Amino acid sequence: MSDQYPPNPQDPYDPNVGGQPGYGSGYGQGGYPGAPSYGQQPNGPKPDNNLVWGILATVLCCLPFGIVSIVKASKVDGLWNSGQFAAAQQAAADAKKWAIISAVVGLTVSVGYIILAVLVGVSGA
Amino acid sequence: MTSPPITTANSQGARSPAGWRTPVGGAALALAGVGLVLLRDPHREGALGICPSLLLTGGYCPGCGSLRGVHDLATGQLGEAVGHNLLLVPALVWLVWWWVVQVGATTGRRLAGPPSSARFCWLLVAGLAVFTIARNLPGSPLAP
Repeated sequence: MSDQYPPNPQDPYDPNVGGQPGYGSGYGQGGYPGAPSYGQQPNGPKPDNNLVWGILATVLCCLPFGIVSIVKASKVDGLWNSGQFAAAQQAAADAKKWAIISAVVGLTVSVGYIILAVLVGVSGA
Repeated sequence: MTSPPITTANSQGARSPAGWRTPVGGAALALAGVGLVLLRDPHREGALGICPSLLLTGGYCPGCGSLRGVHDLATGQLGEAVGHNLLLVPALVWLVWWWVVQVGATTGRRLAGPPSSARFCWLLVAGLAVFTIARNLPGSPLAP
């Protein structure tokens, strides 16, 4: 059992009631949009480079998008180690995104082909 | 400084549902895939639709033959699987290794993962390029 008490929702003076939960204030953390990313602090641990998605997409789907995913994955570690943390996280997210695009396109075409084949009554190809 | 009551036992809890989602979901999808391939044998052309890459380019991509290969592996024909796609077995070894690491992470064990460095990624891309060219040459033994 935890010893934390629940915040009283009726208490208008409780800082934890209503609005954002207190994450220890957002002041001084990467302010306005478009701020230069030099010298930023890492926002969490080094991201996984999501290579698993690229391998899945390339070997078990097909399509060139799987290769794009692997290339994106290859950039994660280098960007992170050179201090470009946001770019590293973006590359990891892109690696995942392109693998998903690959899978969605592959599945859509396959399922579409099966539906078409059933509708038209063509067996095989 | 007040400590807000939101940082609950969420970070390192072995056996949290979120931690098990990846290994359990991955295993379920893999089994579903094997089941689908056993249900509709991909050796029969068009049984599982058609590959958009093959349709658009007329050439074999690095993944071509892997569904037939999975069917062969599921029916115990390793040689046939290698013949359909040389990269399938190494890729599956990598994926199973990755999956074991995920299971280890959820149960609080840190295991060495499969190779995933930038260097490995570039070797992989280069290897895939060579493999793609080689299997599309006339009479290639690497063709699916």
